Amino acid sequence: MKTLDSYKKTDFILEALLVILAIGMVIPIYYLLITTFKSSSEATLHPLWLPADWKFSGYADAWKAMNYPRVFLNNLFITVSSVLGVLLFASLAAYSFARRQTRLNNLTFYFILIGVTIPFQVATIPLFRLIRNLGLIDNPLSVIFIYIFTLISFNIFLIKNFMNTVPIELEESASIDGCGVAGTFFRITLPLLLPVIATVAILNTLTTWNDFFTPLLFLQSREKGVILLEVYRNIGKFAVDWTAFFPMMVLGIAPLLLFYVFMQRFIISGIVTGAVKG
Amino acid sequence: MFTAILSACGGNEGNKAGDNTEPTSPSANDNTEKATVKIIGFNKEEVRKTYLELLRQQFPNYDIQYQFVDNKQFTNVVTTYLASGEGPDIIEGADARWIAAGYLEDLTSQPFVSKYYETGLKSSTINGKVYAIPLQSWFEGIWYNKDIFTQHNLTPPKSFDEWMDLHDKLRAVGVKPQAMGAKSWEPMDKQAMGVALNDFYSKPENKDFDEKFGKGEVTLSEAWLPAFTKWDETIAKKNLTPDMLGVEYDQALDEFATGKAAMWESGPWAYDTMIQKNPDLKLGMFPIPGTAEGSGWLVGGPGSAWALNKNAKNKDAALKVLDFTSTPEAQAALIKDSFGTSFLKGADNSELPEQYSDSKSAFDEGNVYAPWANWGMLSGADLILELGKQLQDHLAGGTSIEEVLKNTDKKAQEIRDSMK
Repeated sequence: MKTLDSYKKTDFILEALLVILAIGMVIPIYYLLITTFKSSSEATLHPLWLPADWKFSGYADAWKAMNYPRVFLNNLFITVSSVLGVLLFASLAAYSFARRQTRLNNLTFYFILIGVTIPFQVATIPLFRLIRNLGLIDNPLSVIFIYIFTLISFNIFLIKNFMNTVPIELEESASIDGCGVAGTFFRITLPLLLPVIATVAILNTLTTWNDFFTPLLFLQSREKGVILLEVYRNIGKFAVDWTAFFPMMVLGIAPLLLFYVFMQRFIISGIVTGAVKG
Repeated sequence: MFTAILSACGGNEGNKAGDNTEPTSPSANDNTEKATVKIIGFNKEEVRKTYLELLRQQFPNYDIQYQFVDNKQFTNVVTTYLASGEGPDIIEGADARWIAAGYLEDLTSQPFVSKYYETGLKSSTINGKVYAIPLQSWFEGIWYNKDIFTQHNLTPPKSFDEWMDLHDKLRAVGVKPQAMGAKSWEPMDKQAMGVALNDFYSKPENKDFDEKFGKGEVTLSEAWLPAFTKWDETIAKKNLTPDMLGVEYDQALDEFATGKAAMWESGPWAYDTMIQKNPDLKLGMFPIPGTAEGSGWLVGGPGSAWALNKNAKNKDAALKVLDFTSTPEAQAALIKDSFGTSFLKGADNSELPEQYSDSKSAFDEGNVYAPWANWGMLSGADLILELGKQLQDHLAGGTSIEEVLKNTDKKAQEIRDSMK
């Protein structure tokens, strides 16, 4: 009985702590969401109260002010193209580095890894010149290429390390059965990489969807802009109207949140796969 | 009414040759080629809405594009564009570093430059060369809640001591005297400088102080110390307290707009937001007072300016846009979306809105000035930011007011040395 009592007490304290932490986490989200349904004066005078009169006009105004369908499609195109590009090139490169460990390959791998250490800001001006010389200023391709080449180093590192845990015997069997290098990669290896690919896909999507500086620098006309650029265009220089700003934020993060909720089970399945591997 | 502002501090009304020049309204009809004119600015497109619409009407054959870049990113982004030999045709602001690097076109010989008062051109003039034309002015004073003042029989102060007494009276009736977002470097800088404007800059012998300071011939610690020591009384009296260092601009705005504080320092740009947050608010603005009784001073001057990219793709078209900007019609359009006054000679400056009536005599006497705008190569954000950081440290109890100014002088010398 004593053990049970002390267990219950500890359990209660831990649960209470978790509830407090959960409330701490939820309050900002609650504040964000309820502010979107208030008038400006109500949000200022009673920031945490439920709205007396639920207003949906904030979302309608934000949708219109941002030209949401246009910026959403721009964001989607850039993110999907960049993430697919990164995954394709990084997994192909990682396959080569993991399976053909020649001296040249190893050297190339470490050379590519240096890319992780170089801050983007250092390369901004040369990069801008390069993109200008390619005639890609104010073209979504510029942002897509930059994302692919800035993200690829870390992705190769992650995928190569995961690939080292995949038994090579499976590929050898495929080869004996007459599969070529490309066939072996796409039919055997790639499906086995799904957990790590899901993980890096989520990380890359978060990075590319939420990036502000690269589109700001390279996409100069409003028609080609992304969601975050529109959010910045519509907030005040000196004062922020939260009731106008928050609906824009919600519209900006909602697609990403849905994507994350959908994809996070792949990460968990990836972890479980690793855990039970004999 | 506002012509006095334009001649303030500079004392010189500029190039008289342009006084009789009729404003020109160049038409784009003489140019049959379609040209794109790109403008980049740190003010939102809405702040330039009427002006941009007017430009598009005036130049139907030009594709006028406006790119907004947030203030925090603006210098980085524009510097990247300019360093790459690229960039928009017209740029908001004439950063001394861009001028030093040769990125901006020298506009001195352009006919439209002579249409402005010298006070407007001063902040974008380096070594006698003009690199940008001024848009409407900005100013900043002390907003006050008229209902709270009326309720306690208080009136705007005429001297710094009166202002301090006002704080005490408000505290005595249980009202927080002043909201302050000291997390930002700006408000304390401007308040302390406001006292210096009254006590130091108003004397004719100090007219050229800022140019001399820019060149390193004089120091802030020698010139400003008495005024800053006077301003420091506000910290000694706990009107400004260390907890304000954790308060953001927006939080201070909310505190004042909801009636939780009786005064707050800012400018006309905050007016709409405050009224939107609290439609019942009755607002007034008084100038920052000095040691002697007087009209007080507002911190302000040329707000921003249009500079021309030396590598502009459509320089002729951009010059026509700048020429048209130098007409009363274009200036009125700029003022319509963001209240301020024009530096254009002969521009019809509108009547002062009611909320600024307590500042009328300061305007009439031309008591509007921002020292750092005339520091030449020190006019960039670095030094003013350093002063703000030093004052924040002082409010936290770290340094004396004398050290604040000495450390700022030290930083000024570092900047001068780095630009040699």
